Amino acid sequence: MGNEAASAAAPEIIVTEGVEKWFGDFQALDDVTMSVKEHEIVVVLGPSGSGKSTFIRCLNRLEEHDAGRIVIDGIELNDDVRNLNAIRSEVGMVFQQFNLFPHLSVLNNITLGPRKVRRQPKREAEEQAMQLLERVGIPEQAEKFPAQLSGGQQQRVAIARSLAMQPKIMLFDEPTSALDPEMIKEVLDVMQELAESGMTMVVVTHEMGFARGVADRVMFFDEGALVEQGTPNHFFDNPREERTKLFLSQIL
Amino acid sequence: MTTMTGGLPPPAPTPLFFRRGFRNLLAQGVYVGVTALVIFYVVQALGGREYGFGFLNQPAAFDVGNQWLINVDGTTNTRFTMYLVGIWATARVVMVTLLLSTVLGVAVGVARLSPNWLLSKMAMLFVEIFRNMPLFVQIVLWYAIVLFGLPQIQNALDLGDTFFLSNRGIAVPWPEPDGGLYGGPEWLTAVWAAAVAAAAVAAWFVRRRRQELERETGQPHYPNRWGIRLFAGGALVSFLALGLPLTIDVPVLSGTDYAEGLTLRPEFTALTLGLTIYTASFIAEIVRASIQALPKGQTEAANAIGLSGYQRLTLVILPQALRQMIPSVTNQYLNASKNSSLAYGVSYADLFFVANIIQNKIGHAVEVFALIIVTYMLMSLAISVVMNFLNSRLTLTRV
Repeated sequence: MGNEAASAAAPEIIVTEGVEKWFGDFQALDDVTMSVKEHEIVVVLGPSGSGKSTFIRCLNRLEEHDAGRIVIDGIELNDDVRNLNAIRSEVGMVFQQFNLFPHLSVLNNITLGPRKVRRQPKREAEEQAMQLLERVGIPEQAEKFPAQLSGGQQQRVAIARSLAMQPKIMLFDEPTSALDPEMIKEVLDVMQELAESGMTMVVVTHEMGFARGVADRVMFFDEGALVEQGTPNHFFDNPREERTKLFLSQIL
Repeated sequence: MTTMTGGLPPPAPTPLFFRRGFRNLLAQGVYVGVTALVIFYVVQALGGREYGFGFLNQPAAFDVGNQWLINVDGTTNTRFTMYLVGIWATARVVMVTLLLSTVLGVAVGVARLSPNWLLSKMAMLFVEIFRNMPLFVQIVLWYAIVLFGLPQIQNALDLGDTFFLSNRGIAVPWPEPDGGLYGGPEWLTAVWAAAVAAAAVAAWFVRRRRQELERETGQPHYPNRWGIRLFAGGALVSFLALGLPLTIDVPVLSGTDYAEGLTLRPEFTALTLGLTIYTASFIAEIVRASIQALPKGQTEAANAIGLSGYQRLTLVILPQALRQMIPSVTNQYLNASKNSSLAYGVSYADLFFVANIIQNKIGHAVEVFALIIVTYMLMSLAISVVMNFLNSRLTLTRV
């Protein structure tokens, strides 16, 4: 599905070269070289501890990589603070634990970034926030506080909060892993709608249905390395690598 | 029946001493007995004398220094008036201490978590030095520093003819009531104060009304902007209309003392400095702990939407940490307010000091100490009430 036709000619918006990341003596990322085209939907799979979360956290510099290069939409990720600010407004991120601000209402959670970072007028930011809440299907929750919402609703607010910064790329770090089973679908539906609208997305998930149905490409990480990548059909039906086959045999 | 319980022998009776009910009764009996003995002893010891607070209404026959905004002397004023002066002195120290120690404590606590190595180590040093030294030692030390470290008044440090530092005290400019341009009476200042208060109330109502309108109509009505305009405008217009009924008095040297302005005496300075720094070192640790107790995801989410470090701190981290720390900070406020009685060590005439003078002159130790205890309890109660109100406001409503 996704946007295969469009992505064939699209420029590369994320490029990484030989990325390494160490936590003390532990190597979390080992020579990761990859690229993502504009409007492409990439799903990242792998066993726990394989470095897949660390990798996408490096893409908006929540983690700093120790070696190699990461270039997002022409912006080099390094210790230049101007680049850091630029990247944070280009790349949105949705977390496993939602990480909504519990002291702010849903509306204020969404408008905080636009108002304080983009200096948007309150009025305008709130109008945009209401549109986003419509889009994720919960406009009636605008005045509530995060603790009053279900997990699925909180995650949808978190997606709206990211979208409010009008990012070119959205990163999802296991967005449904902390949800009760009956709420997973409502979040996946929002993500699918987002994918169809042409957003560039990198999604770490264990939802194989989403990977099969929505992804343009699947990447498989193991022990910090990018082991194999390909279209969902290739990946699920015809994996080349032994480690991929082992992983698939354990989860399917 | 026989088929149901036939196999079990009858239960053995529990000896009285091992019964729970008896044990509870025994403990309560011992408690009541001991309390009765203590009360009996106290009544015995206190009995046979006459009690009363009449002595408080007699002329004081002693003077106290460190007065501010008031002017009493021992020949015309009663002992009770002197005691009120002491309460006012305590209140000044406590109010300044609570305010400054909160600001300093939050700053040091935040600094301690700074990624800047030097800043964080300096904050750590501050905390470890000042919370590990006895408060009384610190106050006496500050007193010695202020008394012997600063020059004599004749050689006072003169900062731009506006601030003066000497061992007679620190002199700063201060607003004084004034008849205004038209030479009116001094109570014009009070009229102006009332006008400012009225403007504040009006601004508050207008802000509320505009908030409501905004909610009802969905159109912007700028409640905060209009509230501030009304308040500032009201204060300014009334100030001009009354002919500027307030002047800033700049201190000047006059012989062996200061004239005009506000003089912070060495006793006040040492006590407030000691209390503030000591309390701030504890508040800093509370601030640090409540920030560290927040989930790491809050920082990450703030970073991910592009907030700057300062915005992250003031918009996301501190509003949440402040709620967490209110109960612990209340404890520190109560400690600081009661620790103000260490004024005795530097002869600052606080309520405890004044009460002691009264007790030394006339006796009545039981009444005087009852008065001291009740005063401190009321002060603690007032602080608790305010902090509990703040706590309920912060935990219930939106920030």
